[in-house]
Formats: sequence, C-alpha cells, structure tokens
Amino acid sequence: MGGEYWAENPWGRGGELHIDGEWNRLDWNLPFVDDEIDNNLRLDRLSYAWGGTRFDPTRQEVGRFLVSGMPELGLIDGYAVSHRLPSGNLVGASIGGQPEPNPDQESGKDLQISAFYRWAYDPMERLTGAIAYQKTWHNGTQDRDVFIGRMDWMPVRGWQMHGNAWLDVYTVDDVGKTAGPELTRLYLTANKDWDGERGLRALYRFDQFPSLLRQEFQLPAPDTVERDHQHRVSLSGWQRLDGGQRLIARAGLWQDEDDMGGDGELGIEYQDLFQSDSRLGLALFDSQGEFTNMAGFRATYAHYTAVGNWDLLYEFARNAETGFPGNADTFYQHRLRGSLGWSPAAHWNLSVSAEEVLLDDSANTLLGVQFDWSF
Amino acid sequence: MKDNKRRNRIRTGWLVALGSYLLIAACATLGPRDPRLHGWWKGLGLVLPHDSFPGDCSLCHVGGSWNTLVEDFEFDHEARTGVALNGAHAKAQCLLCHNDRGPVQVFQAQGCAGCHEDIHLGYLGPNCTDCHRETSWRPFGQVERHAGTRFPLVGRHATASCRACHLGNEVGRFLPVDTACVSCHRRDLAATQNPNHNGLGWVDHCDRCHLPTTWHQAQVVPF
Repeated sequence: MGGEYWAENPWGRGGELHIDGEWNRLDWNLPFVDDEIDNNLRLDRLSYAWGGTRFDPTRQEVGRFLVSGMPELGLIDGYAVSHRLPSGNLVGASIGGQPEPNPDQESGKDLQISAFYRWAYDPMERLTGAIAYQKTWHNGTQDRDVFIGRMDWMPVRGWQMHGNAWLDVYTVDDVGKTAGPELTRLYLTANKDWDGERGLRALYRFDQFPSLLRQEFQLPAPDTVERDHQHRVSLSGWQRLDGGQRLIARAGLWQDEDDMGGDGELGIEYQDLFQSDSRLGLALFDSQGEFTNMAGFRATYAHYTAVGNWDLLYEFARNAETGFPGNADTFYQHRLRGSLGWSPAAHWNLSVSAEEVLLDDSANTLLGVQFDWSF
Repeated sequence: MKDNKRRNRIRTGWLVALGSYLLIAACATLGPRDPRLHGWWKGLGLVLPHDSFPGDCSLCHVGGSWNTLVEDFEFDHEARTGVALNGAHAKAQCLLCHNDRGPVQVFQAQGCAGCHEDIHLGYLGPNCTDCHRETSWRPFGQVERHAGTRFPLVGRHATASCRACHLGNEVGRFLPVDTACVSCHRRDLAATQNPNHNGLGWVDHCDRCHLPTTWHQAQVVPF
C-alpha cells in the first residue's frame, strides 16, 4: 500500500512539497526454509524544494529526493542546490546520506558529496551534456569516486540519441580493481522514427561491477567484481505495411567473461482485425542465454476502450539447458496471462493480472492487483 | 513443522529526524522576497499561452483563485496545440507540465523525461514506454523483455518476484546481477541438508544437477 503527495506552492512561496512512501507486507512460505513475515515502511520521498523558476534561477531542495537534473547520483538524504547561469547552463552540488537500496532504504551508513554541470547548446535543449562527480564514504571509510556523464541529442525531428557513462576511479585499497580509472557502465542508444511509418533503434551497453563497500548489488563475490562484465548490442525496428499491419523485428548479441549468445524476435501486429481498437500480435522468438536456449512463439490480443483495456497472452517455449548433462535437459513451457486495466470513475484506476506458467510436471501462478486513486 | 519468524522493521527515528530537518529548512525560507520578472527563456513566451483565448476569464476560471476552473471545463489539447494527451495525461493538472520551471516546449521535446524524474537513475535508458503505458506506471511484459538478456526467465523464474534477484527493484533500481545460480539462491544452498550440499562441496554450478523447474528430482551424475 502506498501513497504519493505532491503539493505546489503549499506555503505561498512557490515551493514544492513531495512525499512518497509505501508499506509492504511480505509472507514467505517456502519449502525447506523457515516461513517469514516481513513488514516494511519505506519512505521514497520527503522533500521541499524552492526556486529553480524563471523568477529565481537558484533551486534548493532539502529532505529525501533525487537530485533535480542529475538523477544518476541516486537518492539522497540531505541538501542540493543548483543555479541556472545566464547562458542556460546549470551548475549544482549536493551533500547528504545515501539510503541503502534495500526494502527499508535505511540511511546513515553512507555519505556522499557531489557536484555537476549541465550544458545546453540552445534554449530548446536539442543538444545537452552533463558531467557529475560523486564521492562517497561507507561507515566513515572512503568508498567511491565516480564521474558520471550524460548526453542527449535530437538533431532533427524523429531522431533521438542518448548516452550515459559511469567512470570509477580506484585506489590501491579497492578490492578486485587496479588503481586508476575504469569504465563501469556505458549506455548508448539511437532512435529514429519516420513519422509513424517505420522506426529503428540501436543500443549498446556495457556493464561491470564497481568495487564498493556499500551493499549496492546482490552479494557479488570478489572474483565477480574483478572479472565479470557484459557487452550487449541490439538492433530493433518496425515497419508499417500497406494493410495497416506492423512488422516488428529485433536482434541482439551479448558477450560476458565466460560466454556469448544472442536473441532474435520477428513479429507482426494486426490493428482492428476482429474489432475496433484492438491489436493482435504474433511473434517467433529465439534466445541463446547463459544457461538456457529458448525458442518459441507468442500470441497477444489487446482491446482498448475509453475506460480501460484488457489483454491476453499465450506463449509456448522449448527450453534446453546448456549445462545439464544427459538427455533430460529439455523442457517445455506454456505461459498464459490475462490483464485488465479499468478506470471506473475519474481519477480511479484498477489493474488486475493473472499469469500461469505450465511446465512438464508443475504449474506456477502469479496474481497481481493494483488500485490507485489520484486527486 | 516449520518455524514462524516475525520481523517488524518499521523504523521511525530517522523519519522524525528527517521531517524535523525539513520543516526547519522550509520555515527558514518563508521570509518576504521581492518578485522579479522573467530571468530567462523570454523568447519562448508565457508559461501557459492565453493569447488566443477569449477575453472573458470567467468562461474558464471561477472563485478567487486562478487555479480553480469551472466544473465543465474542456480543452481539446490535440486540436489546439498538436499534442495529444493520452491515458493519465488526459486527467493531469495543467500546471504539472505548464509551469514556471521551464518552457513546456522543452519538456515536450524531451519526451517522458521532460516532466518525469528518472527513478531508474539512468540505468534503463530514456524509452519509458518500453515497460510502461501512458495509463499506468505498472510495468508490463517484463518476462518477454528478459528474453533479450543473458538470463531468459524460464521455469520457476518466470513467476519469481523481481526483488529476489534485483536488489532495490522496489525503488526502481534494476542493477546488473551475477547470473551464477548461487548469487540469488545462497539461502537455498545453506538450508539444503538432504544431501548436505555444503558438506559435499556442491556449492556452485547448480545447473549440472538441477533444472530451473524445481529443486526436486535432481539428476546426480559423477563429476
């Protein structure tokens, strides 16, 4: 159960108050291990910001928040200030704690300071770049020195290019790394849309684990931090056909420290085939994963109305485990899913879904409900 | 018989401290200040252009506040501006996008990121509509999308909670995960007594004996 409250000008000074939190209860009932009941109250936002308008180029924010203009710095418990220069560029800094990325978002172990500069080529911000530096301490010990860069470019209508990069700087004290700078992450993407007739997207990403004292990831072992990395490149596109259908294709390749593989998907979408405001999708797919080679087909049907939508999915896949010896390494999987989104009245939304995964000798069920009210 | 363990981890001390800090800082800023005229972006015009609207303000505004609109207020945003408001955007408050934090032309050109902060911290790229619809933030098609990774979600993994592997997914963080089975199944390994995997040194390469459909029916082969 969660709620978000956002108020503009709550005290007549043009500021913004933002509160967002959730209460979660988890009941774990698993074979072989103890049952567990877990209650979490999590605060995602509690902040007040002022300035940063055309009347006041200096923006300040205090509380728990993402740094405006540089969310890559992560959630902060503290204070941030940014100032828009006459040129339209932005310079900012922040100081505060870093909540841990666990269900409680506990704060107090990690402290960070950061500064950033954001450059805009023109008032419409068709080309922007940003660079940030962040230094962190974990329980009082120096932890991370990282530079973060980001670029967005929309050269002409229909084109969108985006990139970001994390460059960690290590010392001899960092476990699993050699002293000096190292690229931790790179994300590059380019999208082109030809006025709704066809589209193309290219993506390249590179990831490896940084060496951190802070528990940011799921228990990476020292040798994992030292050698694990992943390159991934993918190309996807779609083309509208004469009959109104959409042809969709995707291909990708990945390579990590041990293996390489890829995936592909070819599909077609029919609009309004059986009824108006509906979409039928058919697709063939294949994926060569680290442990599993999967091939199959998928059918989806969706219908949209003024008050909501519903959709159905059926997927069949043949899965072959690559590391499993013997001849029992293949199993078949059927997935069925239905979901409903409904807005029974203004500002009320209900979303319900049910999913069943049928395997050779077992079945797994997943149910989901989300109900929200905004005013 | 299984033991039941109840853990309540509701922490209030730091909430109170943070709230107090927030209120003190907010009060400190409530001094009178002189309003100033436009400091930047003059060329991009008014926050909410009204120059083509009728002169009679009461056609849309009622009461003593400019923020209150008539109950039957209607505005064909697509016809008047060329920008369609779909899904939840059709019911959004005008000031969420048209405000004095910047020109709406710039917000609109940037797509979702123009108005919505990136809770994924830049890790998932700028194409929000890959996972979210305009009607709801609830993500869709995650299992299908995972087929484009090193780790297609097959068997039990197709219905597992994202949080089982992606630490911090509840707050939008989908950071890289080591694909070795034990990185997510360390607790299962520690609890296994028949046979005692740790005692036998069976602590990695689970996929040599187990399929991702169940921990039962393992195929034991000599290594």
